[in-house]
Amino acid sequence: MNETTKMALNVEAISVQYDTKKVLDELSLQVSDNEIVCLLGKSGSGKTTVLKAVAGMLPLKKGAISLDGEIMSSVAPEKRGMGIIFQDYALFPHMSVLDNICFGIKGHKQQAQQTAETLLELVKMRGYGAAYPHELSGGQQQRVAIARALAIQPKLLLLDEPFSNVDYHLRQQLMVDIRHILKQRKVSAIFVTHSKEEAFVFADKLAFMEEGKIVQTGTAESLYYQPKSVSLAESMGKGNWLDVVVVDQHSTRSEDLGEIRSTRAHGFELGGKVKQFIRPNQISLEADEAGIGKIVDQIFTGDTHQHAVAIGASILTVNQSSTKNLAVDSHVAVSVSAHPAILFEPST
Amino acid sequence: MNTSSPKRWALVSWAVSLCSVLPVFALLLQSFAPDTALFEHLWATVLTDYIITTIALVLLVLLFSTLFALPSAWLIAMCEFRWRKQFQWLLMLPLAMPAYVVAFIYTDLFDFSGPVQRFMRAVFQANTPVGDYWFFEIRNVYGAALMLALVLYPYLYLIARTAFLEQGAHLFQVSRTLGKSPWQSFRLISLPLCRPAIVVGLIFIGAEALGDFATVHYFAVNTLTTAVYDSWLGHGSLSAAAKISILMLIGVMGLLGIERWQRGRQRFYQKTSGQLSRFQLNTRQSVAAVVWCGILLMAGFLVPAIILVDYAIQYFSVAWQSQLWLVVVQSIWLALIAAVITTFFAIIFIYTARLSTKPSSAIPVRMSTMSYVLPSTVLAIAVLIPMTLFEVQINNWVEHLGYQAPGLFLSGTVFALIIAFVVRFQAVANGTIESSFLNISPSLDMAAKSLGKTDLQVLFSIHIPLISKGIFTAILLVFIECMKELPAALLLRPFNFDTLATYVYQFVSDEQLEQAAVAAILIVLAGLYPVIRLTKTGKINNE
Repeated sequence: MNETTKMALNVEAISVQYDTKKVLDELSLQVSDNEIVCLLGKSGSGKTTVLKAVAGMLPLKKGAISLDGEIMSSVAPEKRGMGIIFQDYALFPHMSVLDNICFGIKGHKQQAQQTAETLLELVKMRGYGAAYPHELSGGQQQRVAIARALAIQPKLLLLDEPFSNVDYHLRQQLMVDIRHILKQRKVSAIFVTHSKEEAFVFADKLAFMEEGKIVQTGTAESLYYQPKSVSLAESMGKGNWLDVVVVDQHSTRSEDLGEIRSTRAHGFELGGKVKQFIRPNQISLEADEAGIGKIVDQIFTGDTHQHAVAIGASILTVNQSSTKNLAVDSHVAVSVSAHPAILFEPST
Repeated sequence: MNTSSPKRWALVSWAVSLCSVLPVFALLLQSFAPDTALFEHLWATVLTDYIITTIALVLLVLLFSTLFALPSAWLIAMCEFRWRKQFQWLLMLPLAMPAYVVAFIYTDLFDFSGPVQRFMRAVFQANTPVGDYWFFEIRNVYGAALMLALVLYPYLYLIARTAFLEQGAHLFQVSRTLGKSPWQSFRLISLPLCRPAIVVGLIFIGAEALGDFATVHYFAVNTLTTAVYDSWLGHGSLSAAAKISILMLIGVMGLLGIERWQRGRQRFYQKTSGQLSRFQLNTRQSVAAVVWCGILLMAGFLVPAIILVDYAIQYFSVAWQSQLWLVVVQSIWLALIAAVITTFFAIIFIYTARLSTKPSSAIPVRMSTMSYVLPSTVLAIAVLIPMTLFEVQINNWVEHLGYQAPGLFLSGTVFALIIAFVVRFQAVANGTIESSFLNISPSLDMAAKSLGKTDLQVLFSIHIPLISKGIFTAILLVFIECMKELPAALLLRPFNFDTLATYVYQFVSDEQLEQAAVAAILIVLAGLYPVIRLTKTGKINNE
């Protein structure tokens, strides 16, 4: 982290237990000012528990949480100054949109209403103040939930899978809009999702969770190209597992594909047998009657074709531009372009 | 597929449901009839007092029930304390206890010659006659309201507790993050969202209190129900009874109307998710919660139950008599016939609604369900009106043909009682059968029809086998309700005919409950079944 960046939230080695089951295990996380951090992971990895612990809705077994340097562990949820947005929006159904937004604003009613109107304009919902939540679409409800959370001028915003209930096109637009609003108002946020696409678009930094722990934190690119666990590598997208032998710090050798060049030193022992993870877009195919590969299946995905290529006994998944016109049953030459190698010990 | 089949089902369904609301229409029409001398006399003398007492009674019952039910529902739904899981179903037990039995027992306990006052006199050596020291009087409107609330609060408790749980945690949690304390969040979010559920519970309790005859009569508190009984059983004036009944009906409908109007465009139902994390009470709070729930359980169930068992043991030879078994057998037959008919109608209503996608197909179900909020007394009078009208017509016609008139062949027989039970408890059967049908995927119907089966064949070959448990439960639940029902049975029973409830009530009104303790225990045991069933099916342990 940049030393000049001020830290907003500091989560230090917290543990949370439900009855006897440990859900978070000495988890640490830092969020800087105006930074959006995404907690990514499979269902049951403890992402939402982190949000609830940070919001003060779950007691900590161990560890501490501080916000702007103030220890929060014994502070009641209503005094933490954190807004929260749930997947189901949790708008109060018996209140109008305006009353929902005014709910947390302290001070005179007139002033609160003025603030609420400003926020409605910010979230592009001007004129909807008198409507009730059930009269709005999912996307509109989401915008109101954002406005309501921002109304208390939170030091930190917590978003629990906020886009999972809206359709694809609306989701893209909402993500861009809400990210813009958060950046504009300089609000730090923790965002929980299991979708890597959402995480890539919305967050500045990603933290990948497994079994109650954060296993890796970094930018989207670093998690995608340098995953430290098999699970993270697979979560970031499809890939092919190859058994390879380490040739030197920048290359490995596969029995079928020959030498594979790495653009960074991988740190594994020379001559060692390791597993290599190669993304479908890191492999190239060229039509070649004498080629070692044979296309056994293909799926058109738009810009690319996803090919299943048989090489010996193994099948590789390879993405190639749709313009290449490679037919099923045709033979191809297969090569791997130089890339940052993703290697793991065979036992992992 | 036979396209006219759904229409035929709809025709039957509409016809039956119209018959079930016919008494209410008859009651309305009757209320427009010219005033009878009796009604005018009542209006000029006691009716105003009766109305005021009735309003006071109902409001007090609602107040006491709210005080008992809402804190308990909130504690059980939202807080964690010792024995919470046990209390969540134990608090339902008072529902099995007839209010008039509780009323008798507490009167016995707190009377001048009762154990409580005897004990106090012994302790304070106040061996003095009545009136030389102050002791609260239980036989008044406050006492009657308290007795009714003690056994009726579980309706509100159950419904409010479910509503609190169904809100999920998210709305409450959001409210906390928006700066509201737990109490503010409860007051501003949880409680308003439960309003429709609370109102439904209160209207139901209000209707039960309004229709109660036994408790108020035992306490000599004169309400509109007393006036209905006096008009019909004392003076034989159906017209006056109908007019008084309509006053009670206006009260119930007024409450419903006010609630709807106040609700406006707001919606209260939004099932949000989020695992509920209960507030962990500290030791002092836990003790207070246990004491609160314990007092309710003791007062509403344990104390009356223990005393009943004590009566039964002490007076076993008197209570265990052959007449009791005749009454038990009569009650069982009557309740069983009513339960089977009610469940049969429920299957017709629900299946008809399932056959059609039109919203109107559900109207018969809703129509036949409405009568559950009618006080039993009102319903009994309402059932009598079309029945007696029909009898008069038939008698006139038969006499006109030169034969002897058959007399009261409907209203003077158990037929009237069965009809009243069917109309009153149709909602119970509808609810059970509807939830059973909901568990069957509509694709099963389509699959069976695509294989050439008619609607009737689909019902018998697919649905009935699949909902057989639901059918059994519906029959059993209605059966139990019929066994317990008193006000309608008192008004409509044929001469010299007793149900278990009327049998016990007679002993209560003669201040001899001890002699009917075995019968009272049978009613309590029958009433315990729905509570056990609710617990087993998870409606009480639904977390």
